Amino acid sequence: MRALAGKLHSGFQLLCAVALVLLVNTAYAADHVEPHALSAPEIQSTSPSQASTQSLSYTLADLGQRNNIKIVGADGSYSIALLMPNKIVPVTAQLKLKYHHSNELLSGLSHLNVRIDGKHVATIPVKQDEAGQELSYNVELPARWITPESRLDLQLIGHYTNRCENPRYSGLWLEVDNTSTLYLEARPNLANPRLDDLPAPFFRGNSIAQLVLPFVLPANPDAETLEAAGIVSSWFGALADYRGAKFPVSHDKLPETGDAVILLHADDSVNGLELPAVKGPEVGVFTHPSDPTASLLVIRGRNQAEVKQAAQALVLGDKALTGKQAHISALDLPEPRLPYDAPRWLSRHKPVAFGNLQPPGNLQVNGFSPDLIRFGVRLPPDLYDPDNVGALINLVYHYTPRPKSDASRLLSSANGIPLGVIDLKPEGNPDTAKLSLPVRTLASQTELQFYFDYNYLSRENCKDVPADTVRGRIDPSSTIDISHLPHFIAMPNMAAFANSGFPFTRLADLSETAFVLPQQPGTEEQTTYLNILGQMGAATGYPAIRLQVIFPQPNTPLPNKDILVIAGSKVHDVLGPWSSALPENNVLESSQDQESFSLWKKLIAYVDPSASTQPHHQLNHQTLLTGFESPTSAGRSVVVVASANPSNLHHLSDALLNTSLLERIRGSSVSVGANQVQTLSTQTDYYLTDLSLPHRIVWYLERHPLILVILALITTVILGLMMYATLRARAIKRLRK
Amino acid sequence: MTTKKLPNKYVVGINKLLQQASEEKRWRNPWVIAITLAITLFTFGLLIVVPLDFWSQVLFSVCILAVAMVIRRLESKIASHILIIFSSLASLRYMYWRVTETLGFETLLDATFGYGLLLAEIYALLVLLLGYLQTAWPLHRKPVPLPDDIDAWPSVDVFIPTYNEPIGVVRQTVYAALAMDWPAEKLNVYLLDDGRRETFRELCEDVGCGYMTRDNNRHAKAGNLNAALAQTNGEFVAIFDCDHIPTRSFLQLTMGWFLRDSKLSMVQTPHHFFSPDPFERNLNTFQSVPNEGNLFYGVVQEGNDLWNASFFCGSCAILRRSMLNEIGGVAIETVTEDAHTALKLNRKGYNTAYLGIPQAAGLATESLSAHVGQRIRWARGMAQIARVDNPLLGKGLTLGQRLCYLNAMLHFFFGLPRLVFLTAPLAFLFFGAQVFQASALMIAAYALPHIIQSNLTNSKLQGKFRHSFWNEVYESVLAWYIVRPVIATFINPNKGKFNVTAKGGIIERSYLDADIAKPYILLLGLNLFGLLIGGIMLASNYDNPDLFMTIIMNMLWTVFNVLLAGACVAVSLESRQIRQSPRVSATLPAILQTPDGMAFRCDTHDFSEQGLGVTLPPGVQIAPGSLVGVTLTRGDDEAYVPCKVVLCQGQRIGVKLEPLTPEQAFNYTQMTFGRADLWVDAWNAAAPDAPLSALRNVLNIGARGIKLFAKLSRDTLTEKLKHPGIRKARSSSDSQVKQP
Repeated sequence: MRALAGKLHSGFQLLCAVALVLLVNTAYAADHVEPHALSAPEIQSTSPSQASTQSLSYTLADLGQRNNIKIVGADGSYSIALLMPNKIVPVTAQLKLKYHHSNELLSGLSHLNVRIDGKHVATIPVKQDEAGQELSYNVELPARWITPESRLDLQLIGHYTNRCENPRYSGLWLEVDNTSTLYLEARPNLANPRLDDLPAPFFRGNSIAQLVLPFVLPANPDAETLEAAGIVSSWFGALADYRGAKFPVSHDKLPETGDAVILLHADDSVNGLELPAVKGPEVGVFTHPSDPTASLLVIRGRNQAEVKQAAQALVLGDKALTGKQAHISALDLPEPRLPYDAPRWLSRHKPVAFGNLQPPGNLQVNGFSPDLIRFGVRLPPDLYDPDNVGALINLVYHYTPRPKSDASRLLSSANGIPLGVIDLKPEGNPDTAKLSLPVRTLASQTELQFYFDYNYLSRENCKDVPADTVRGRIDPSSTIDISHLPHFIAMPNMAAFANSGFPFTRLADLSETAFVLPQQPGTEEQTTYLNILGQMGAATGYPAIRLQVIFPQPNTPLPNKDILVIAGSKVHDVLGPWSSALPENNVLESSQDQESFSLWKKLIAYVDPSASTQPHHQLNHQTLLTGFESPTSAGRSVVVVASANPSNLHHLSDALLNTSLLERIRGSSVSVGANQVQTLSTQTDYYLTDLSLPHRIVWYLERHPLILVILALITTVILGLMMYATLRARAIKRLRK
Repeated sequence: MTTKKLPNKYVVGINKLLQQASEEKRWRNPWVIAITLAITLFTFGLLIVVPLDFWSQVLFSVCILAVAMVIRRLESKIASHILIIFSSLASLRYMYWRVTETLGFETLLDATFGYGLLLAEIYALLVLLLGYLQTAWPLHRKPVPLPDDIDAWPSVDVFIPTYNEPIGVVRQTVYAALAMDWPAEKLNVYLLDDGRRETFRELCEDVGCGYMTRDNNRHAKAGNLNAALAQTNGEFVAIFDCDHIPTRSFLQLTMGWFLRDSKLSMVQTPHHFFSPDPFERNLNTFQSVPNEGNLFYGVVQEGNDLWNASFFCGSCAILRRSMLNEIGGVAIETVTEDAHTALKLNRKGYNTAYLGIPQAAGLATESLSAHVGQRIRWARGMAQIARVDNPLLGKGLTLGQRLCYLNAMLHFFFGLPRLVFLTAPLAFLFFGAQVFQASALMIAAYALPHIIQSNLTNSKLQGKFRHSFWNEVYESVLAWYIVRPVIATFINPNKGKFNVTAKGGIIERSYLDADIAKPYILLLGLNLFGLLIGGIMLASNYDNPDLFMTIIMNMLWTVFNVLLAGACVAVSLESRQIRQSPRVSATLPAILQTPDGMAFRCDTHDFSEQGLGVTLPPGVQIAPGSLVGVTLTRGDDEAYVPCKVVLCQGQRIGVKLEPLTPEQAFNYTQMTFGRADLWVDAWNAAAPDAPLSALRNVLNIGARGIKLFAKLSRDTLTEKLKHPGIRKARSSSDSQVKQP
């Protein structure tokens, strides 16, 4: 019967849904600019001499505007993030705007305002007789206002008549070309790093660009040094969050320019870097010897254990981290994390208030065409929701009361999927609504979106054009709840791994994870290792302070942990002892060949195509991502990243950072190449769950009603017989008296 | 009737197999029992909670139902027990689903109606399951022979309490009690007259019956009995209501158990009625459909007996005086002193027993209002016991006894849930309340197996004693009247008064008891209106399949409610009852002496307190008005009565008794009402249940009620148009007719 109310409104709802999706998409296009590479502005002055200025220019396209910017309405505006690199200080700045506009804009009344961070810079008059022409206008920008966080705002004040106007009249438009260019004269911003500023300058939260942070490791790093590096990369990954992070590894050699992280043992040194003698676990920041704009983060100790300790101190924000260099005297690790308690994951125990996910300021909007209220939530990837109950949202919202019941609505969606349309009623403010977030169909990274769609009261004869004073606010006490959903997932599941680092990230500090790398891993394996840890950090929001790295030794059993194998071509070394225990696997890619492959054979085919009977030449350029249940400990997972050619491993890192490729990583075995992802197998072999045994039986029986019938018949007949026997005995006793 | 078909060889085979399985010796090993029980109960729990989608649930239910249809053909208790488990499974599955999946109410309106319905359903489920436990094994105790040595037979006092009943009713009872087969020196019959009437004293003196009065009427019947207990000293006390005529064999059949079981404190026998109760009379179902009491005396008391929880019903029972004295005599705290007395005996650790052989018969309540009044008293008394001496609490009872008493008590709380069921679909049709937060199809998939299985199982368990769907009719009639007294009494148990049930009246012409029919007419009207609204909703929502199904489901439910309400209206049409003393069909050997001195051997076809129906041998003719003599015989005993022929229909004549001497009357009672085997055949006369024909039967009655309703509204309308205000006058004349 629940459908009743819904059906009555279904047509209306569909309309709203379409409107919402359209709205979200346009907003998406506006905000999700492709981050432009910081390192590649058009630098015309090539010599990086320290004192001299350099000339830089960025088109709006460089700044992420893939299309021309169309500003519409009587009071339309558009905002562009300038995304200036940290390494420069602008001295002069000039914006050369190219634009054209509607021929209905009245001269004198209509104009275009230019602002930096809301501060007015220039007003460009609009002349009706220039309509349709390609116009250009140079605006001098005050260079000192331009910071890495600056936004450029363009506001069109447009009028088409002196009398009564419709502010949304379609003739009110002005289009700014995305070839409009920002010209800068800038001097280098000399680095002066301090531990107090960490994670700056290595990572700045206001940037939206991907973080690329080279790591310098000792040649042939041992397991503990790799653990230290992994802890740091997962920390930076957590900071970089949705921006993504890459950690290219080099050995004993500084990159020419740019920031870097350096891990050193007592005696090691890096070319060109003079460091004081090491006295224990130490973290320090230094200026790059050959690039005065760059900083170096140096983590070192007298031995591997001290390096790791220093790394842990760094990521845990030790008190000693002040000044240029800090000595870590003692370090108390926090309590091990509990399953599913990653800071970025919704709590499994109780409803989570929106206020805990987002500052209240981000939950309110103004105006008749407000922004979306939007924020991300991360769901554990193994939520089990057979009945589509979903994550339950108890929404509390405030709005400007409507004078009468009109078509004003609050639209909610998740990743563009409509969740509900709520009418804003004349009374009942604040109001509440219950929404259900379909966790089955959503990715683990979900963006919740709310849009206050106020009906604009257009009145005849412009008697009173309403002031744009409407507000909308989602109350921070609104909650989202997944505590009723158990955990249950069919494994192997590469989507869960790629998106959330599952099952390893079940414990956010990776205390039950062992990374297995071949003896003397190559640079590519190490880079992949750090990149994957960066991804895991991004998924959990917590550094992997308890991870373990293992170089497998013959006859040494692996620990009872979840295992992530990054093998390059040396998969034999790592997985040899398990070769016979790997499961049979269906093979999707060779439809002509129906025979079932051992997963082992497939692995071999990937890492050593010549040994395979089949023409697998394309495998030379692929990386295999697959998994299976540990042959030695039930319920433990093994994930393998393998490739014939270690230089292919970066395909995986790239795919993990590319939204469209990431979406395609599905199934239990996946082949990843350059800009391509192919699912090889969807076979699942085991389940990970916190369901109790009865629940698992229920889960099974739900899917096998005939077995349920048989079970029911057996049980009822036995119970009936027992009842009969018991009552008969009782009757005989009663009558014997 | 499928149940009557001879079971084929497979069915016999299954039955044999089950029988063998139940007799398997390994069952006696406690470990085997414990482990099997643990596993099966765990699995049973799983079966209840596994959620299924629509088609899986349909598949599951259909399979179980198919097996149930085979099993119900087996003539065995094992079959009943398996059906009980099936039904429990279907119902518990439904309830689990109901509680976990259908309660996400969105508005206060939905929640109010929704939780109301849920509570009613939980009550119904509880009563269903307790009922299964209670009636799973009717004990069917047989009489125990008395010792040959008559000196070993104990002494018995027979108490016949009376208050305001007419002497005609009481006379038969006194005569029959005196004539019971028991050593005369050990049998004392007392008429306990709270009315203190001279005619009664004379009656007793004439036939040598004890006559007792007291100077007050405190505690009504219970006080009356207790006063008599104080003045007498027989080892046993037999109690008969003054309109329950015992047969001569009563004591011989019942006393044996007391001699075998020294802890036995009470033996109860059925209350049998030889006149139709208001249901039977008004619906014309006398002896074709089991009456309301049959279930209790045919199944419930037999089932209670297994758990040693048969209870005293105030009449047709024997109690051991020593044990009765130990609990302070008949209980006086509640208006159902009988059940409470048994509860007290059980609490003392004494046994109670039930012997399902009718050894007395009486008159049923004469009108629906009287019937309702009697049920209100029972319901009130049970609510009182629930408050003042709750069987779940306190010492001395076994779990089985507690549950049996609990169900006896819970049963009388049916009023409110029944009214909820009768109006639930209206919440949707009138207010649009979504009482189920689920699709109509899912509701059907879960609720229908629950309903069908429980009906099948009850049909199997109760068969001859309660036909399918009649429970709904009986409950619906009483529901309205029982709600308020039960709740009021439950809240304040000390506010109760004893109302005597009037019996033995005549109804000169059929009339609709408008006072009592009011709630049914209202219910019927509301439900018909609901159907109308449903029809309109259907017409405007034909393009919305979900909503369409929901409306259809609610309308089907409403149709069923319309029929029940119709049946209630039909029941309240009091049909003509001319003969003051109802006739009992019986073929008794007799000799007819004509005025001209001829004597013929013939048979009676019926008899009553005031006359006989005689079938003449072929060729014999007697004119109406002739004075004849009829001699009824039983073995060597005989009774002569002078009669006058009042009716001739071919070979069947009706004769009216001339005034009798006390001795003639005494003998006449012995030869008629006092016969030992008289009631046994009638007791087993009802046809076994066939659910579909029972449904048809109830449908017909419902339809009759609806017609009546239509006629009534038409009449009212025309009367209103012609003479505003006349209706009131008419209904007051109705109530005059009611009091003969």
